[in-house]
Amino acid sequence: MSIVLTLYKFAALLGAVILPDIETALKIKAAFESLGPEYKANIQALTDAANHANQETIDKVNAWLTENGFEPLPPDPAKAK
Amino acid sequence: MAAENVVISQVTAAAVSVAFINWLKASSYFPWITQEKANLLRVLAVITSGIGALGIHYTWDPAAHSLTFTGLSLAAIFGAAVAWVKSFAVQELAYQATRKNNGTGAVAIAKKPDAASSAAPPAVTLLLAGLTLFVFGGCAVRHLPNGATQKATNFEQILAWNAAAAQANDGFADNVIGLQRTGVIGIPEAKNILLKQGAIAQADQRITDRISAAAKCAGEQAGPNATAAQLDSAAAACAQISGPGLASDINLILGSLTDLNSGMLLGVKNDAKRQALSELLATVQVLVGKIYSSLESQGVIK
Repeated sequence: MSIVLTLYKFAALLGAVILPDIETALKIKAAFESLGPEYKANIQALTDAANHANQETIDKVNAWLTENGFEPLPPDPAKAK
Repeated sequence: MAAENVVISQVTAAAVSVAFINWLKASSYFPWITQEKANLLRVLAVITSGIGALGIHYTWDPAAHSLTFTGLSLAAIFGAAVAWVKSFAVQELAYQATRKNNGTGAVAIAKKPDAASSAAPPAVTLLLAGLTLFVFGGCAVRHLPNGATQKATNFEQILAWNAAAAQANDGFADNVIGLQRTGVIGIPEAKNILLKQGAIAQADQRITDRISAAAKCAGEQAGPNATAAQLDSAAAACAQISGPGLASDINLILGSLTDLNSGMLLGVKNDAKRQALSELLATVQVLVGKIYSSLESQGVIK
């Protein structure tokens, strides 16, 4: 009897045992403290960054809810207008 | 004599394994293996303890990147497993006997100044939260073409805190989903937390819309050559109409954060992970609190 342990299997085994660390908060970018010279461009860039992060959160929450058999978040009536 | 040799071999193998793990933890070549990665270190300990226990034959095939173990019968596997456990026990004894009493600088950082005798969360968690607050505790500045810097306007600063809060909430969702998939949080508990996070993201979308609209209105009213003070004044005037809505949504977010921190995280079975999530929530709370204070001091929220 013999077994074959490939690197892929070994990595999968380690991945199953080791829990993820709390590291994704590092997604917050220090660039928010360091702005460009133009007021309008800064306003737009910061608005876009917040909108992108919020939409990403809503999308991933909805994807998780659907995946686990729940209803997605009710649409925001203020946004629907 | 033979028995003595076996014991000496086991102890020697355990000592070498412990030294190897300690070297990995301290080595700059493996920055992802640290004192705080308890699960990884446990796996390493189990694997390296096998070195001393198993006389299994193996062949490495470099072309196929595979390791083939041979000569495995049921009796041999059972015998090997018993030997492995014995070896792990010897190695653990060697580790516990030789390790320094966790008196490293990293662990010292983990202790809150006001923490009494309760167990301190992992250093990496508090260090991360501390870094996050450090990075966003300061003020945003504009970098001018001539190399000088200029304080950002009030609404640029508010939008900077707002974007950081939105990203922290996004990162929090990643963590909750990841922890649920690995069994640290149950599905019902994860659902409750994620519903709150979704509500926070929706409220922050409305806040972003209102603050951004006021900031753009200020830019148009004050003109392209306006000073920061003129823009601040114009933005505060433009935001007046949004004051009640902003106050309502900020309070909704702060209330959701309180709910999350006052019981919903109890579903997280791992103490260290729960503490880390709580620290992330505190980061969002600080950032949203700064937005509220700034709007209040400008007379937008009354």
